Amino acid sequence: MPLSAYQRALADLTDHARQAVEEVFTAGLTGSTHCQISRNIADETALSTADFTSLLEVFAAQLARGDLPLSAWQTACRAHKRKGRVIPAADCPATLGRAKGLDHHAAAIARASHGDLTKEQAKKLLLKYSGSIDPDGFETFLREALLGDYLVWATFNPVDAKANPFDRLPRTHHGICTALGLGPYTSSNTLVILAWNHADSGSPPLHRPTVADAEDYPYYRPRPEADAPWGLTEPLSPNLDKLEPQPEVVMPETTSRGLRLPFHVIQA
Amino acid sequence: MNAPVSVDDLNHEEIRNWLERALRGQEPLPLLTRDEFPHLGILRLEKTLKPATRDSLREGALQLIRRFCADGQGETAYLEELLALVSAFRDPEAVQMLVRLAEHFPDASQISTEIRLAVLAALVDMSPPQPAEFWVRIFRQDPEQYAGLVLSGMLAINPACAIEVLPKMPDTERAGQAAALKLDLAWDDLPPKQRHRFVQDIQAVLVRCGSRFVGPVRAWANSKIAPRGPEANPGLWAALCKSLGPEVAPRTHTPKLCEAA
Repeated sequence: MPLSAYQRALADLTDHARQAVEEVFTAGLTGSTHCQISRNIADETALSTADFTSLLEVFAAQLARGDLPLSAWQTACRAHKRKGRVIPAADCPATLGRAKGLDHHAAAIARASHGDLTKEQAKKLLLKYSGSIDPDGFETFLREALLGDYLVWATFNPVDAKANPFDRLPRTHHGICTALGLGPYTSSNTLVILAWNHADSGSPPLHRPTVADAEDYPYYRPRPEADAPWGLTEPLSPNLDKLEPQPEVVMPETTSRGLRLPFHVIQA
Repeated sequence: MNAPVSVDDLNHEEIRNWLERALRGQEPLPLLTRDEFPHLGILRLEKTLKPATRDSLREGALQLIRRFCADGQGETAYLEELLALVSAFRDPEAVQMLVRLAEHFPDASQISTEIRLAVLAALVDMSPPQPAEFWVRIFRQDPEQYAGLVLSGMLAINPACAIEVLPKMPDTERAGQAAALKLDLAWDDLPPKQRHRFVQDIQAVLVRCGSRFVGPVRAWANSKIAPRGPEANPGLWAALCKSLGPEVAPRTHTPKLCEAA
């Protein structure tokens, strides 16, 4: 049986580093969130052997410094962002989308406004202009806000790359969270769904996500096909509507200048 | 990977240390999306904690604010998260500390403009709203930088006073756009019978406003006071004329309408 990507990377570590890494990933409690992270690491196929080895080396070095495992893992991940394969420019979807918490996006708008709008003002404006193709002066501030912070996780419609990816999903809080695999603690969180034109956003590189991009986020699942161009979400259980996994990519932090209107606020 | 220690199992001082690391994104948090701001994950987690732990968490936040107000130190991202967290906690003691800090901004050169704006924005969003006199003093410190937030703060406590700030706003279209949005939100919150006067008072001061600033605000004010006669909806008016004949006129009793009723 061929070695997994993780096993190949482990084999390239020094004995000491390998032991430190294996101790952390094979210990642990069943059923815990962090067991899922360990499983994700073991199942990851999106990293090259060199990058996977480097990730584990940094992890082992942080453990040797006395960092707790999660902190060491975070440090290692942050040095290995966007290492998954890049989608060639000609194959990039024209339209991408993401869901964010309403409070998160309101705070992002406020921070980008440099004092022109507060978070509560931005939140009221998002609620007011949800569904509007003409948000008046708010559009200036909408387009300045970052689509996401540090790294943007996005989805798209693989059948029609120009379409808004949310057009083929249920326009409900439950449906969107299920399809995109957005954790179980979202029942009281209002969502904002955003779609943007890739070219108008500056055509940032789109990468297949890896465990390093996910850090300690337990809802990421590595895709078993090593040569897949993008990742897939894992719809939340019980998924009674049988929603399909959605494509997912990561891209660098980008403003909303390519935003497609309208955006939508989806109440829980 | 071994599971993290539960915050409920930490003592009071450990909770404060945990909070400081969590605000820097160095602790696992229940995040909606991977890139969500840490303070939102902390607020989500807080709801699940035991009451004593929640008290310690809020006290820890207060201690961190107290330290910031005393020394003005901290990296921007961390301070933005801390201010956002205490804003959500709505602690009156934190409000007072931030008010005192803001009043002494001229003596705190180590605090960046970005953080000063974040402090003032938190004070706008926190309850109770600060008195108009506070915002007047803040405005005097730096009219150019603080005008937008002063307008926001005034609108929250005294819209009539806020109108007097409009002629002093920076003369930029962007400032006008932001002001129009804030005036619109304030209009939404006014009792209906006060709205017309509010808009009239704004229109009265526009002649004293900068030429670039005034455009968006005037457009907003005009949209609120537009006549409601037939010219407001010419399509509907034409349809009524066709259906009811040339004698139809706005706000007049028409026999044909009564027969239909």
